[in-house]
Amino acid sequence: MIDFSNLTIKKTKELYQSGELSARELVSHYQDEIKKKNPELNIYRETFDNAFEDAEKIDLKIKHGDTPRALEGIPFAIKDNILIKGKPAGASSKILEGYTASYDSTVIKKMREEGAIFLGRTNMDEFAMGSSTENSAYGVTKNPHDTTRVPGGSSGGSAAAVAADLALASLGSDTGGSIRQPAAFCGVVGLKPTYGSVSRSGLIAMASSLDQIGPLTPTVEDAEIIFDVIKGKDELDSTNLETEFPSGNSVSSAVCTIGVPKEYFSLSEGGMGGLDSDTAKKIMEAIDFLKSKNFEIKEVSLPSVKYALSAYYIIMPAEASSNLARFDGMRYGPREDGKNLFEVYTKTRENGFGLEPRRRIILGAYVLSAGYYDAYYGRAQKVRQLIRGDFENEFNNVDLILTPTTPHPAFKIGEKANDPLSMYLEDVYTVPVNLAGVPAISVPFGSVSREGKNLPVGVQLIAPWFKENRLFEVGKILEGLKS
Amino acid sequence: MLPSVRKLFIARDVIKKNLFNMLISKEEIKKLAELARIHLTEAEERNLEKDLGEILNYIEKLKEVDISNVPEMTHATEVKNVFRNDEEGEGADLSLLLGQFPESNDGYLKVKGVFERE
Repeated sequence: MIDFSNLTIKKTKELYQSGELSARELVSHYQDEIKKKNPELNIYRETFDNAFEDAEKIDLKIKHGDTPRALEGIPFAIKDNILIKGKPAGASSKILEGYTASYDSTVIKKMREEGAIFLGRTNMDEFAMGSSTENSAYGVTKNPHDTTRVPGGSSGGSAAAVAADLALASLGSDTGGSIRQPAAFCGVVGLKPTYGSVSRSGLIAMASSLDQIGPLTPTVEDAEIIFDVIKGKDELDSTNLETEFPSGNSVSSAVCTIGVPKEYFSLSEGGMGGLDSDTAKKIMEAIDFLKSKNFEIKEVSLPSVKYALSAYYIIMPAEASSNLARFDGMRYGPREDGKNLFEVYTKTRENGFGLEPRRRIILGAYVLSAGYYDAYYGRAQKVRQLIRGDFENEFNNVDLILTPTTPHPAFKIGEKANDPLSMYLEDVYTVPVNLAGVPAISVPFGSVSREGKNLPVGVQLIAPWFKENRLFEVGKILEGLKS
Repeated sequence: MLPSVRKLFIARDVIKKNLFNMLISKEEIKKLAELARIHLTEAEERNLEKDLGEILNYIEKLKEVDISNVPEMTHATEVKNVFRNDEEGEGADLSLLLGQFPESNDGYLKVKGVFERE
């Protein structure tokens, strides 16, 4: 009997090759599990009927003896802001109710060409604005480890799908931590690639200078396999860069020293104010474990990261405010009626947008107002440069940087819903990474106990630009210790 | 200084501080909402005034950073213009694209008149 909950991409492909498992069986397994668990967990917004047919085609290919492609017959869950041609996509917003994508996003195209199967689209915070999925217009997703808690966000559905065995892997998007934070809360691996390494074409944009698509997976190796498929130059995204990626399978170790920023974690005290003490213990354990594996651990300093959230909450709403201007009820989505064009716009956007998108649109419009540019947006972009410089400096001294992914384990549904500022502070460890554009991965590292439930803890590893291979190298070592 | 005058000075400072902390007014929110084509209810305006005030207060922290001689960051990795040949390629599915129109007429997108007669 196959243990479905322990499948990886590699194992699945081996089972396909040996004939012990078929893609149809695996897709049926996930479809059955979704039927059973989704009514309570609210992970999928919709499942795709053609997944089984796609599996049939793949099984024929395998039977025929075709060389298996990178993602041959691997069933995926896709975040609701990544377009799949002919399928509805809505960024969990009412303003896109009834919208059907007219083209494939580049990542979907690449994955399809490598044999991936798409099971359905997953719930998220509306327009990826949030850290809990509570901002979804279609209800909160529940954390599979404790259904009274949030799965994190905004890619909460994608993280929970992998954790609850409702997909082998998934795609999410990360603007300020939206892949890594839910990955940490749900106990899965989450990768935010270097800005510009994965095409954003077909991703419903939130803040274009920060958004990146990335995988959520059961293992680090799976994240690496998917990253290798989706990365690379794309003419449809002008910020997408042509870069030689160092091979992930190099024999010689690329990482010798790992830095721990003193602004986030004191090595001498084994913690930090604002960081949950149980989580801090797990982080210290991870550090000690890496030491025992002969990595040199160094204290480093990122003096400007204390301003990261302030800069982020100027830059992100400014860009979101511009990006969301296109949702006006003219070309797609529902349109409200009004006595003139102005009223059609305002009514459509009032009924279509939830509170958080409206809050960010207004905040963005404010910081971009004439007379405020220098005080807010201009200043924030300068601070962003300083933060980037901090990383540049320290990557001269260390190969990798380690921090917690989140300040505490998954919080309760409703706990922060009415306090936007405290929700924003959730992203304290993840936001600087997006501002600097560097890649980072969250790797599960044991759990802490809360009210009799075991809640996962994530360790965040940060690498220099385009050095994802270092994240995979050390990530695999970290996950090797099942604690 | 006379005690009463001192009191006045203190009162003035308190008012000034409160004014400073009130970073966004309801009128400004109303104006911004209109510009962003978003209708807000009275209650939403009140809540936004509080929430945005708190958020703006938090980001005031940036004022203490010395940014002299720091350039504005415009791109996360490198700044370079990217060009491609202007060639026909595979695009969106036209029928799917046109099928999204909330209102259409003979394949044309139908919208309300932009200009109004007096």
